[in-house]
Amino acid sequence: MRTNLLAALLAAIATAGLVAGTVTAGGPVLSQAAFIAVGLILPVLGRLLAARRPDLPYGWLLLAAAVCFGVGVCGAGLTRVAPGLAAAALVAMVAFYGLSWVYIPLLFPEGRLPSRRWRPVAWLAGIAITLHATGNLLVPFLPGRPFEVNGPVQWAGVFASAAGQFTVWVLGYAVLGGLVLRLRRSEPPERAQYGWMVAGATANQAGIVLGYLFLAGQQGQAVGVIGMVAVLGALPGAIVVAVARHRLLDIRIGLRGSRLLLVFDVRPTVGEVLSSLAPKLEDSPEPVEQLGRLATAVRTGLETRWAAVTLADGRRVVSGAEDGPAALTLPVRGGQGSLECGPRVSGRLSREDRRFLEALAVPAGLAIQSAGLATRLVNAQEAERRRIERNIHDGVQQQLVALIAGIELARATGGGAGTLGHLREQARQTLADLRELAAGIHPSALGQGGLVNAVEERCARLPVPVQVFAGRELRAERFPDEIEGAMYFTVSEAVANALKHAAAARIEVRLARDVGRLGVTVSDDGRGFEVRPGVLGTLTDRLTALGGGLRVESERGKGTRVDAWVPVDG
Amino acid sequence: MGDTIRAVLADDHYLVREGTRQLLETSGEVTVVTTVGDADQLLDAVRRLRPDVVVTDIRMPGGAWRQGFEGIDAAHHVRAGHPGVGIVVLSQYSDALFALELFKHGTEGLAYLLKDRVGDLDELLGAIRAVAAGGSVIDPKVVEGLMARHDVRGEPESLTPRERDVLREMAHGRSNGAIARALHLSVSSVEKNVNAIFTKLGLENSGDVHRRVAAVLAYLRP
Repeated sequence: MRTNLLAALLAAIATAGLVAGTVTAGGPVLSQAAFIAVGLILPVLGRLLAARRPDLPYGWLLLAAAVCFGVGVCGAGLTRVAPGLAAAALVAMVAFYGLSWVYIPLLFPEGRLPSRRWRPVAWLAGIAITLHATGNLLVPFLPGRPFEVNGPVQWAGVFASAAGQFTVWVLGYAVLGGLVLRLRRSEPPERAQYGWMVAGATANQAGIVLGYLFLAGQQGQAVGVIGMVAVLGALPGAIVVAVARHRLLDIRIGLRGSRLLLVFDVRPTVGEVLSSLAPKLEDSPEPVEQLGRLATAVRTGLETRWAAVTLADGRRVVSGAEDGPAALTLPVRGGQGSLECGPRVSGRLSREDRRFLEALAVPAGLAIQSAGLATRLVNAQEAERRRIERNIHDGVQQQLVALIAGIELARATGGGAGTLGHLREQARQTLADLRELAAGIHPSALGQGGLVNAVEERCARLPVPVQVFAGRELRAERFPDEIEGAMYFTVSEAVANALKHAAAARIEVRLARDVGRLGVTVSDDGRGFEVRPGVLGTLTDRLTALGGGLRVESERGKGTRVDAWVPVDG
Repeated sequence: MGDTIRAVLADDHYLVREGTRQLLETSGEVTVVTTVGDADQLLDAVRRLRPDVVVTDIRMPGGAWRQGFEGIDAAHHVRAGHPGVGIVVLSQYSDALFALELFKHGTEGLAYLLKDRVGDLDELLGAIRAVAAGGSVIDPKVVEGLMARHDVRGEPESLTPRERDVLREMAHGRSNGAIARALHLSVSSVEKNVNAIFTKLGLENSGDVHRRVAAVLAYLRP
């Protein structure tokens, strides 16, 4: 909003200067109105561009030219009233000429140099304009006054002004030549945009020539008017046409509905795309759907025929009809995939489009990361269910089958007390195994007594001494199911690993509650191992999904330490 | 049959294996010539000992077999190499999918029983006798499942309740006489029902029990 205000302020200054200067200068009312009308194109256009695309310098450049022009016109109007002030203000006109002569055609259309080679031209133009302005300040020249040069300082001013003006003039032609070259190399629709700019710049230069002829008194009033209109109106007029007809800077002017309403339809900015994408991503629980929305956002944002999000594992979600090689491919943040898009519906992808895609690559990376996380979590859950199913089939179910066979045998053979006692033991063992299995799925201690209780219960069943440290308050505190579950299984898995793989003799479990954070540390004196990325991946995923994390520190011969934490309220 | 039926028993679970062995041996009808713990050992034992029947668990982890299908795949191997060996597959799964997998190349000499049948010695012995004679048996529970699936498919039901009862018994591999005894019907009444079933289903009537099971499966197969 601040940029919008600044643009409006600059346009207002330019307009005020233009109107005030014109009215003070006097003359026929119709001619004044025409001058103001033509002069207004520049500030209005500059304001619209700067407000709509504040990221592009071009709108600001036009606004700067408009302000210079407004101040200059104001100065021209003040010549009779306040000559000193007028001379200073008139210098702004020099800057206006320089800007519209060199910079407006040179920096067309985005406000950036076409290549590094043009850098000296830009610098030279700046120096020449300054020289021109300084010279003019040293030799106050006011319209309608006799032109006198007194003393070496004023002579220096005359030379500086002339040299500066001449240099700007030559550079103007160089820039025009460069513009023609860019026109010849370009393709539609940029070709049409450059065409209009070349026409505008040519008209501008012709206007200046006509203006000089008029000032030199060689030609009549009509030539002066044509020259003035060309100088003032040609460039902004060309830009207006390029905007209106050839979608310069992705701005369209059209009629909406039946009302005669001029509408500036701007390609959405990255910020706009992101703010409209965020709720859509939240609404779609399916990871693939999220990636699809992202691809659609890229496609509509850049107006390409298609766009795709490709994941590192080869999965790919395409929006639109993929009909050829990608015109632009960018890796997303975190390197877990890439964004691709096809050619634009019309025209080519610009540097601006590339920047747009780069900005989208950040949220894309996050979306891909969470999509991958969700898939891995689902897979881990599936694997866990399969493991439980196999455990039931191979364990308890088989034991029951054996029990049934035993009972049938006892029935067929009239089994005695010994056989029945044996069968009872078998039934008890089955029950114990079933209890163990249920505890592995969800320990009842966790549901009843909370995290600390369940962890103590789990550790008490281990064949090595384990110590569990937890604060008194933590012992009574309850957390959401998913947090208690994740922390419990982290401990369970860590102690199981310490026993199974590290052959630990002592294990220590510490539960601690900080502000906004619940942490658990499991350390052992076992063999230790070389920590590779992806170790305890399923647990890490589970904790990451809760906004927490897991760190494993281990070294051969020095034991292992597993740190896990999750955010909690308060 | 004066001789006992020679059987090889395969199960990866020790208690089940031993329990089943003792049970079968008490009957006096079956001699368990050896017990094995996986599909590879099973094929080896069949090659060496040439038993009359194999009683095998459906799932025996290990070897290069399809996981969860070791017993079924071993059964197909045995039938291909030794067509005279009957096979009873004992399964924890009442899902018809596994039964259909077992019977996909034919039903002759194959039985699919749920594991809890080890609690019913007569039933188990009946299946062993049937496959030893080249017959075929499907566990009634699995047939129930197939029938339920059949009903879910929403096809118009053409069989009367009585005919469905007879069909279930046929699936069990029983002869007309056995069906008559099980359902307390006269043999001629059973014959009438069987004929009606085959006519309604458009299947060829046959006295062979394994072909009758095949016909039932053809009807119920999804």
